[in-house]
Amino acid sequence: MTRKRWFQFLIPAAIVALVGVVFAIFASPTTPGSGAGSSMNVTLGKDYYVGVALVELSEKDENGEAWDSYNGTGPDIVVDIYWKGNRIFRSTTKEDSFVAKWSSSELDLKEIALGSQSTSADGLIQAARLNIKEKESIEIQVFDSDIGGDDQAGTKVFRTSELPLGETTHSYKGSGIRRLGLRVVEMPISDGALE
Amino acid sequence: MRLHLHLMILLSSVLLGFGLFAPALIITPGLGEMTPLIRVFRPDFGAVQRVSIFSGIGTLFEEGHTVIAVLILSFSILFPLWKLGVLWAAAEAKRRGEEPHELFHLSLKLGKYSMLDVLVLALIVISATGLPGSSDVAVGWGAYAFAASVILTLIVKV
Repeated sequence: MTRKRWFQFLIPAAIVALVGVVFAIFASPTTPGSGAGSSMNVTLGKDYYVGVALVELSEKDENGEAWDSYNGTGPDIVVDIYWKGNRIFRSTTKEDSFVAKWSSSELDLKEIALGSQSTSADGLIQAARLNIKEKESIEIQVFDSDIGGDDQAGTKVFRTSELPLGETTHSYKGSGIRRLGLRVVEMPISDGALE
Repeated sequence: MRLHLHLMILLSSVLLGFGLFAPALIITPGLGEMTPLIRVFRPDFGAVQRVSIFSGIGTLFEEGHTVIAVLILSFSILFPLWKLGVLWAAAEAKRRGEEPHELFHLSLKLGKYSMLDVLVLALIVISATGLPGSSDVAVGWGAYAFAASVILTLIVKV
């Protein structure tokens, strides 16, 4: 075969490669509910668990003073979630840290072992429970928990109908809250009891 | 007729391209009623996965299944590409009134092996849909494009 004929032999392969290049440029795989860039939101009328997965605070509080200035330790971070003017969730306190992380569930094995009552899987989940409606918001308040009273570290408001599914991280500038990680998951209709 | 042959090979090449790079399998993992609960602990669980033949081969290589990856690479990508090239050369020879290259006759003999990848695809779908739980596996349009390319190539050969 001459060189020209060999070139013709490669035409179908070139077309396939061209289609591959077009796919590489234009087709972007989407994985809903994964990390900082979740593109899927909640659905109106459905029930969801809304939890705070992560909080990062700035080095100084809103007044430019050190957290827990009386003893020099880091902030003791605790989060409240408010809906319809009521507190519907309070997290556990993460002591002496600028970065606090919470898992979806916190098992008190001692209580489960010694307790006479059964607990449901739902009962283990550390999150607020919301039903999504239009024109409603939740308020996430972050505090530095102190013996003498909680010092507010910052408040962030989210419209419930615009909550992103999965885990997402929101970054902020200035003092107070630097990062806020949300975890939004649809609630199952039923769940099994753990005896 | 000559033009039709070239057009059909071109179309088959485009379809093969779509077949290799478009989603061939759409997998939605599920554990029945417990799926939303599992998502509380693993928010990424249940995310829809779109697997193309090309990306699937890449995953097989990454996970160390080299033999299977090489087999599917050979029969899904290299062999169909080679076959289309041979057909194109044969169509060109026909246009010039020459005898097709001997590779053309070889491609006719080896043609039956081009269906191996369709068999692999079918096995994956059957095995995945047969698993317990509520995982859902659907055939993506890439698989249809791939099958169309195989059929069109067969027609060109005839």
